[in-house]
Amino acid sequence: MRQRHTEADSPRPVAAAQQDIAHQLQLAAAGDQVAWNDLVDRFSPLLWSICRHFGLSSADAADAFQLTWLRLLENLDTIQDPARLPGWLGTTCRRECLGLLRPTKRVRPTDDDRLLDRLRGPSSSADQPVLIADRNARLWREFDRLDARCQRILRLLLIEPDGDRVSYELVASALDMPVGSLGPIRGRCLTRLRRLLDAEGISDALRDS
Amino acid sequence: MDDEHTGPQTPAPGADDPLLAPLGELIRAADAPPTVAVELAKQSFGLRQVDTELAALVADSAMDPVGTAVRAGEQSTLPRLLTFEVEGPDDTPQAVEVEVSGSGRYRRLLGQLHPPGAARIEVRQPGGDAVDPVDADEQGRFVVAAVGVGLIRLTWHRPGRHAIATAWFRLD
Repeated sequence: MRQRHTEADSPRPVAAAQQDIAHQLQLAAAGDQVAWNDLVDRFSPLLWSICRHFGLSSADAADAFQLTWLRLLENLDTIQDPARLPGWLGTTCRRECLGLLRPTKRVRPTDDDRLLDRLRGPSSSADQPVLIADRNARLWREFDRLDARCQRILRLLLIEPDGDRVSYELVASALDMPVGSLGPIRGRCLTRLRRLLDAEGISDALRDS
Repeated sequence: MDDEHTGPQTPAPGADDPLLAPLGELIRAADAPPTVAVELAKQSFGLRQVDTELAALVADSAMDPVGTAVRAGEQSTLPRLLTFEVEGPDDTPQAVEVEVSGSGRYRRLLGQLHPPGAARIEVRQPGGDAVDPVDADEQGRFVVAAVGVGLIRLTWHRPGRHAIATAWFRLD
Protein backbone atom coordinates (compact mmCIF):
# COMPACT_ATOMS: atom_id res chain seq x y z
CA MET A 1 0.00 0.00 0.00
CA ARG A 2 1.20 3.42 -0.82
CA GLN A 3 2.33 5.45 2.08
CA ARG A 4 0.45 8.66 2.56
CA HIS A 5 2.56 11.73 2.03
CA THR A 6 1.02 13.49 4.95
CA GLU A 7 2.65 10.95 7.20
CA ALA A 8 5.75 10.27 5.17
CA ASP A 9 7.25 13.72 4.87
CA SER A 10 6.31 15.13 8.21
CA PRO A 11 9.31 16.63 9.93
CA ARG A 12 7.98 15.15 13.16
CA PRO A 13 4.82 13.44 14.33
CA VAL A 14 2.13 16.06 14.52
CA ALA A 15 -1.00 14.03 15.14
CA ALA A 16 -1.09 15.37 18.68
CA ALA A 17 -0.66 18.97 17.54
CA GLN A 18 -3.44 18.58 15.00
CA GLN A 19 -5.74 17.03 17.57
CA ASP A 20 -5.03 19.97 19.82
CA ILE A 21 -5.98 22.41 17.11
CA ALA A 22 -9.12 20.45 16.27
CA HIS A 23 -10.11 20.47 19.91
CA GLN A 24 -9.54 24.19 20.29
CA LEU A 25 -11.51 24.84 17.12
CA GLN A 26 -14.39 22.81 18.50
CA LEU A 27 -14.33 24.62 21.81
CA ALA A 28 -14.13 28.01 20.13
CA ALA A 29 -17.11 27.14 17.93
CA ALA A 30 -18.98 26.31 21.14
CA GLY A 31 -18.19 29.81 22.45
CA ASP A 32 -15.01 29.25 24.46
CA GLN A 33 -13.01 32.48 24.49
CA VAL A 34 -9.93 30.81 26.01
CA ALA A 35 -9.76 28.27 23.19
CA TRP A 36 -10.06 31.13 20.68
CA ASN A 37 -7.22 32.98 22.42
CA ASP A 38 -5.08 29.84 22.17
CA LEU A 39 -5.72 29.65 18.43
CA VAL A 40 -4.83 33.32 18.04
CA ASP A 41 -1.62 32.85 20.03
CA ARG A 42 -0.73 29.72 18.08
CA PHE A 43 -1.08 31.17 14.60
CA SER A 44 -0.53 34.92 14.95
CA PRO A 45 3.26 34.97 14.42
CA LEU A 46 2.95 33.04 11.17
CA LEU A 47 -0.03 35.01 9.89
CA TRP A 48 1.65 38.31 10.69
CA SER A 49 4.81 37.24 8.87
CA ILE A 50 2.74 36.26 5.87
CA CYS A 51 1.12 39.71 5.78
CA ARG A 52 4.56 41.30 5.83
CA HIS A 53 5.79 38.78 3.26
CA PHE A 54 3.30 40.18 0.77
CA GLY A 55 4.79 43.61 1.23
CA LEU A 56 1.88 45.21 3.03
CA SER A 57 2.49 48.34 5.09
CA SER A 58 2.04 47.97 8.84
CA ALA A 59 -1.47 49.40 8.65
CA ASP A 60 -2.52 47.15 5.77
CA ALA A 61 -0.87 44.14 7.37
CA ALA A 62 -2.85 44.83 10.54
CA ASP A 63 -6.10 44.87 8.55
CA ALA A 64 -5.29 41.74 6.51
CA PHE A 65 -4.29 39.99 9.74
CA GLN A 66 -7.50 41.07 11.45
CA LEU A 67 -9.65 40.13 8.46
CA THR A 68 -8.15 36.64 8.48
CA TRP A 69 -9.26 36.17 12.08
CA LEU A 70 -12.68 37.66 11.40
CA ARG A 71 -13.15 35.25 8.47
CA LEU A 72 -12.32 32.37 10.76
CA LEU A 73 -14.81 33.72 13.25
CA GLU A 74 -17.57 33.82 10.66
CA ASN A 75 -16.66 30.30 9.48
CA LEU A 76 -16.14 28.66 12.88
CA ASP A 77 -19.26 26.55 12.40
CA THR A 78 -18.63 25.64 8.79
CA ILE A 79 -15.05 24.35 8.81
CA GLN A 80 -15.82 20.68 8.32
CA ASP A 81 -12.37 19.22 8.72
CA PRO A 82 -10.35 20.82 11.52
CA ALA A 83 -7.18 19.15 10.19
CA ARG A 84 -7.39 21.56 7.29
CA LEU A 85 -7.44 24.67 9.45
CA PRO A 86 -3.76 25.55 8.82
CA GLY A 87 -4.26 25.39 5.07
CA TRP A 88 -7.51 27.33 5.37
CA LEU A 89 -5.82 30.08 7.40
CA GLY A 90 -2.93 30.31 4.93
CA THR A 91 -5.23 30.56 1.93
CA THR A 92 -7.48 33.08 3.63
CA CYS A 93 -4.57 35.24 4.74
CA ARG A 94 -3.15 35.15 1.22
CA ARG A 95 -6.48 36.26 -0.24
CA GLU A 96 -6.88 39.11 2.25
CA CYS A 97 -3.34 40.33 1.60
CA LEU A 98 -3.77 40.27 -2.17
CA GLY A 99 -7.17 41.94 -1.76
CA LEU A 100 -5.65 44.87 0.11
CA LEU A 101 -2.75 45.13 -2.31
CA ARG A 102 -4.91 45.31 -5.40
CA PRO A 103 -6.69 48.65 -5.09
CA THR A 104 -3.59 50.68 -4.36
CA LYS A 105 -0.89 49.02 -6.40
CA ARG A 106 -0.13 46.02 -8.51
CA VAL A 107 1.61 43.04 -7.00
CA ARG A 108 5.09 43.20 -8.38
CA PRO A 109 7.48 40.32 -8.02
CA THR A 110 10.34 42.78 -7.79
CA ASP A 111 9.03 44.29 -4.58
CA ASP A 112 11.46 42.16 -2.60
CA ASP A 113 14.03 44.84 -2.09
CA ARG A 114 11.57 47.47 -1.02
CA LEU A 115 10.00 45.00 1.35
CA LEU A 116 13.31 44.20 2.91
CA ASP A 117 14.11 47.87 3.27
CA ARG A 118 10.90 48.28 5.15
CA LEU A 119 11.36 45.34 7.46
CA ARG A 120 13.49 46.63 10.22
CA GLY A 121 16.23 44.54 11.74
CA PRO A 122 15.80 43.09 15.19
CA SER A 123 16.25 45.49 18.00
CA SER A 124 19.12 44.53 20.21
CA SER A 125 18.16 44.23 23.81
CA ALA A 126 20.30 46.13 26.27
CA ASP A 127 20.97 43.32 28.69
CA GLN A 128 22.08 40.89 26.02
CA PRO A 129 25.61 39.64 26.72
CA VAL A 130 28.00 41.43 24.42
CA LEU A 131 29.36 38.30 22.76
CA ILE A 132 25.97 36.99 21.80
CA ALA A 133 24.84 40.42 20.66
CA ASP A 134 27.93 40.66 18.47
CA ARG A 135 27.46 37.16 17.11
CA ASN A 136 23.82 37.90 16.34
CA ALA A 137 24.67 41.14 14.64
CA ARG A 138 27.11 39.33 12.37
CA LEU A 139 24.62 36.52 11.72
CA TRP A 140 21.95 39.06 10.83
CA ARG A 141 24.34 40.90 8.54
CA GLU A 142 25.09 37.73 6.60
CA PHE A 143 21.41 36.83 6.53
CA ASP A 144 20.81 40.21 4.96
CA ARG A 145 23.28 39.29 2.19
CA LEU A 146 21.24 36.26 1.17
CA ASP A 147 19.16 36.64 -1.96
CA ALA A 148 15.75 38.15 -1.28
CA ARG A 149 13.87 34.96 -2.07
CA CYS A 150 15.80 32.98 0.51
CA GLN A 151 15.39 35.69 3.11
CA ARG A 152 11.68 35.84 2.57
CA ILE A 153 11.13 32.11 2.75
CA LEU A 154 13.37 31.61 5.78
CA ARG A 155 11.53 34.38 7.57
CA LEU A 156 8.39 32.28 7.22
CA LEU A 157 9.85 28.84 7.83
CA LEU A 158 11.95 29.70 10.88
CA ILE A 159 9.40 31.86 12.65
CA GLU A 160 8.28 28.94 14.78
CA PRO A 161 10.90 27.45 17.08
CA ASP A 162 9.66 23.93 16.30
CA GLY A 163 8.35 24.39 12.80
CA ASP A 164 6.15 21.37 12.19
CA ARG A 165 3.85 20.03 9.53
CA VAL A 166 1.10 22.39 10.69
CA SER A 167 3.17 25.51 10.06
CA TYR A 168 4.47 24.14 6.75
CA GLU A 169 0.92 23.54 5.54
CA LEU A 170 -0.05 27.06 6.48
CA VAL A 171 2.93 28.61 4.73
CA ALA A 172 2.47 26.42 1.64
CA SER A 173 -1.15 27.56 1.27
CA ALA A 174 -0.22 31.18 1.83
CA LEU A 175 2.46 31.03 -0.86
CA ASP A 176 0.39 28.77 -3.10
CA MET A 177 3.28 26.30 -3.27
CA PRO A 178 3.35 22.53 -2.74
CA VAL A 179 4.12 21.76 0.87
CA GLY A 180 6.76 19.24 -0.22
CA SER A 181 8.78 21.98 -1.92
CA LEU A 182 9.34 24.01 1.23
CA GLY A 183 11.74 21.65 2.99
CA PRO A 184 14.19 21.49 0.06
CA ILE A 185 14.03 25.28 -0.44
CA ARG A 186 14.71 25.81 3.23
CA GLY A 187 17.63 23.39 3.05
CA ARG A 188 19.16 25.15 0.05
CA CYS A 189 18.77 28.59 1.60
CA LEU A 190 20.35 27.47 4.87
CA THR A 191 23.25 25.97 2.93
CA ARG A 192 23.81 29.28 1.19
CA LEU A 193 23.72 31.11 4.49
CA ARG A 194 26.15 28.63 6.00
CA ARG A 195 28.55 29.29 3.12
CA LEU A 196 28.38 33.02 3.74
CA LEU A 197 29.03 32.47 7.43
CA ASP A 198 31.93 30.12 6.72
CA ALA A 199 33.50 32.64 4.39
CA GLU A 200 33.33 35.25 7.14
CA GLY A 201 34.55 32.84 9.82
CA ILE A 202 31.37 33.28 11.81
CA SER A 203 30.37 29.62 11.94
CA ASP A 204 32.72 28.88 14.82
CA ALA A 205 31.19 31.59 16.93
CA LEU A 206 27.81 29.96 16.46
CA ARG A 207 29.08 26.54 17.38
CA ASP A 208 30.74 27.75 20.56
CA SER A 209 27.68 29.41 21.96
CA MET B 1 8.03 8.55 -8.23
CA ASP B 2 5.21 8.39 -5.76
CA ASP B 3 7.44 8.71 -2.82
CA GLU B 4 9.84 11.32 -4.05
CA HIS B 5 8.67 13.47 -1.17
CA THR B 6 9.47 10.82 1.35
CA GLY B 7 12.44 11.19 3.57
CA PRO B 8 13.91 13.76 5.83
CA GLN B 9 13.41 16.77 3.57
CA THR B 10 13.34 19.00 6.53
CA PRO B 11 16.15 18.75 9.01
CA ALA B 12 14.78 18.09 12.45
CA PRO B 13 14.14 21.57 13.81
CA GLY B 14 17.13 22.90 15.63
CA ALA B 15 18.53 19.45 16.21
CA ASP B 16 21.92 19.43 14.57
CA ASP B 17 22.20 22.92 13.19
CA PRO B 18 23.71 25.56 15.48
CA LEU B 19 22.40 28.13 13.01
CA LEU B 20 18.70 27.56 13.55
CA ALA B 21 18.20 28.64 17.14
CA PRO B 22 19.89 32.06 16.94
CA LEU B 23 18.54 32.79 13.47
CA GLY B 24 15.03 31.81 14.56
CA GLU B 25 15.35 34.14 17.54
CA LEU B 26 16.46 37.03 15.34
CA ILE B 27 13.62 36.47 12.91
CA ARG B 28 11.04 36.24 15.69
CA ALA B 29 12.36 39.46 17.20
CA ALA B 30 12.21 41.22 13.83
CA ASP B 31 8.79 39.99 12.71
CA ALA B 32 6.80 39.66 15.93
CA PRO B 33 3.15 40.59 15.49
CA PRO B 34 2.25 43.82 17.32
CA THR B 35 0.67 43.07 20.70
CA VAL B 36 -2.22 45.35 19.88
CA ALA B 37 -3.04 43.34 16.73
CA VAL B 38 -3.01 40.07 18.65
CA GLU B 39 -5.16 41.52 21.42
CA LEU B 40 -7.65 42.86 18.89
CA ALA B 41 -7.86 39.42 17.27
CA LYS B 42 -8.67 37.92 20.67
CA GLN B 43 -11.25 40.58 21.45
CA SER B 44 -12.90 40.08 18.09
CA PHE B 45 -14.32 36.84 19.48
CA GLY B 46 -16.91 39.09 21.13
CA LEU B 47 -18.04 40.20 17.67
CA ARG B 48 -19.12 36.71 16.73
CA GLN B 49 -22.75 36.42 15.76
CA VAL B 50 -24.44 33.05 15.83
CA ASP B 51 -27.78 32.35 14.18
CA THR B 52 -26.89 34.90 11.56
CA GLU B 53 -26.84 34.33 7.84
CA LEU B 54 -23.74 35.53 6.04
CA ALA B 55 -24.13 37.77 2.99
CA ALA B 56 -21.08 37.51 0.75
CA LEU B 57 -19.51 40.40 -1.11
CA VAL B 58 -20.62 39.95 -4.72
CA ALA B 59 -19.63 43.30 -6.21
CA ASP B 60 -17.26 46.10 -5.22
CA SER B 61 -16.61 49.04 -7.52
CA ALA B 62 -13.19 49.51 -5.92
CA MET B 63 -12.19 46.04 -7.07
CA ASP B 64 -13.88 46.08 -10.45
CA PRO B 65 -11.10 45.81 -13.02
CA VAL B 66 -13.32 47.12 -15.81
CA GLY B 67 -14.37 50.15 -13.81
CA THR B 68 -10.83 51.01 -12.83
CA ALA B 69 -9.63 50.64 -16.39
CA VAL B 70 -12.34 52.85 -17.82
CA ARG B 71 -12.26 55.42 -15.09
CA ALA B 72 -8.59 55.45 -14.36
CA GLY B 73 -7.67 58.64 -12.58
CA GLU B 74 -11.10 59.66 -11.41
CA GLN B 75 -11.72 56.49 -9.49
CA SER B 76 -11.22 58.09 -6.11
CA THR B 77 -13.81 60.80 -6.74
CA LEU B 78 -16.60 58.31 -7.40
CA PRO B 79 -18.47 56.84 -4.45
CA ARG B 80 -17.62 53.22 -3.81
CA LEU B 81 -20.50 50.81 -4.26
CA LEU B 82 -20.58 47.41 -2.61
CA THR B 83 -23.16 44.67 -2.90
CA PHE B 84 -23.60 41.78 -0.45
CA GLU B 85 -25.95 38.92 -1.11
CA VAL B 86 -27.20 35.70 0.43
CA GLU B 87 -29.65 33.16 -0.94
CA GLY B 88 -32.84 33.38 1.13
CA PRO B 89 -34.62 30.29 2.48
CA ASP B 90 -37.41 30.73 -0.08
CA ASP B 91 -35.01 31.32 -3.00
CA THR B 92 -35.42 35.06 -2.73
CA PRO B 93 -31.95 36.57 -2.60
CA GLN B 94 -31.47 38.92 0.33
CA ALA B 95 -29.08 41.70 -0.52
CA VAL B 96 -27.80 45.07 0.54
CA GLU B 97 -26.17 47.72 -1.61
CA VAL B 98 -23.95 50.17 0.20
CA GLU B 99 -22.69 53.43 -1.24
CA VAL B 100 -19.69 54.86 0.58
CA SER B 101 -18.89 58.57 0.51
CA GLY B 102 -16.98 61.10 2.54
CA SER B 103 -13.36 61.76 3.27
CA GLY B 104 -11.07 62.03 6.26
CA ARG B 105 -11.54 59.56 9.07
CA TYR B 106 -15.30 59.07 8.72
CA ARG B 107 -17.56 57.74 6.00
CA ARG B 108 -21.24 58.07 5.23
CA LEU B 109 -23.08 54.93 4.18
CA LEU B 110 -26.17 55.03 2.04
CA GLY B 111 -27.84 51.64 1.98
CA GLN B 112 -30.56 49.86 0.06
CA LEU B 113 -31.99 46.51 1.13
CA HIS B 114 -33.39 43.99 -1.35
CA PRO B 115 -36.15 43.08 -1.22
CA PRO B 116 -37.20 46.49 0.13
CA GLY B 117 -38.68 46.70 3.59
CA ALA B 118 -38.17 48.04 7.08
CA ALA B 119 -35.26 46.68 9.11
CA ARG B 120 -32.92 47.56 11.91
CA ILE B 121 -29.29 47.96 10.85
CA GLU B 122 -26.40 47.32 13.21
CA VAL B 123 -22.83 48.45 12.56
CA ARG B 124 -19.94 46.45 14.01
CA GLN B 125 -16.27 47.32 14.00
CA PRO B 126 -13.40 45.60 15.79
CA GLY B 127 -11.87 48.09 18.18
CA GLY B 128 -13.90 50.97 16.75
CA ASP B 129 -16.26 53.37 18.48
CA ALA B 130 -19.74 52.00 18.95
CA VAL B 131 -22.12 53.19 16.25
CA ASP B 132 -25.82 53.46 17.05
CA PRO B 133 -28.13 51.18 15.07
CA VAL B 134 -30.20 52.86 12.37
CA ASP B 135 -33.54 51.96 10.83
CA ALA B 136 -34.22 51.24 7.19
CA ASP B 137 -37.50 52.72 5.95
CA GLU B 138 -40.32 50.86 4.17
CA GLN B 139 -38.38 51.14 0.92
CA GLY B 140 -35.40 49.49 2.58
CA ARG B 141 -33.28 52.64 2.47
CA PHE B 142 -31.01 53.63 5.32
CA VAL B 143 -28.22 56.06 6.15
CA VAL B 144 -25.32 55.63 8.54
CA ALA B 145 -24.22 59.21 8.92
CA ALA B 146 -20.70 58.72 10.25
CA VAL B 147 -18.63 55.61 10.69
CA GLY B 148 -14.88 55.42 11.16
CA VAL B 149 -12.66 54.03 8.40
CA GLY B 150 -11.47 50.49 9.03
CA LEU B 151 -12.97 47.04 9.16
CA ILE B 152 -16.73 46.85 9.37
CA ARG B 153 -19.78 44.66 8.96
CA LEU B 154 -23.46 45.54 8.76
CA THR B 155 -26.18 43.33 10.17
CA TRP B 156 -29.83 43.76 9.32
CA HIS B 157 -32.72 42.45 11.35
CA ARG B 158 -36.19 42.02 9.94
CA PRO B 159 -39.17 40.92 11.94
CA GLY B 160 -39.81 37.20 11.70
CA ARG B 161 -36.54 36.06 10.19
CA HIS B 162 -32.87 35.42 10.92
CA ALA B 163 -30.57 38.38 11.03
CA ILE B 164 -28.23 38.71 8.06
CA ALA B 165 -24.66 39.97 8.40
CA THR B 166 -22.42 41.13 5.58
CA ALA B 167 -18.98 39.60 5.30
CA TRP B 168 -16.38 41.80 6.97
CA PHE B 169 -14.94 44.43 4.67
CA ARG B 170 -12.64 47.42 4.88
CA LEU B 171 -13.86 50.98 4.59
CA ASP B 172 -10.96 52.88 3.03
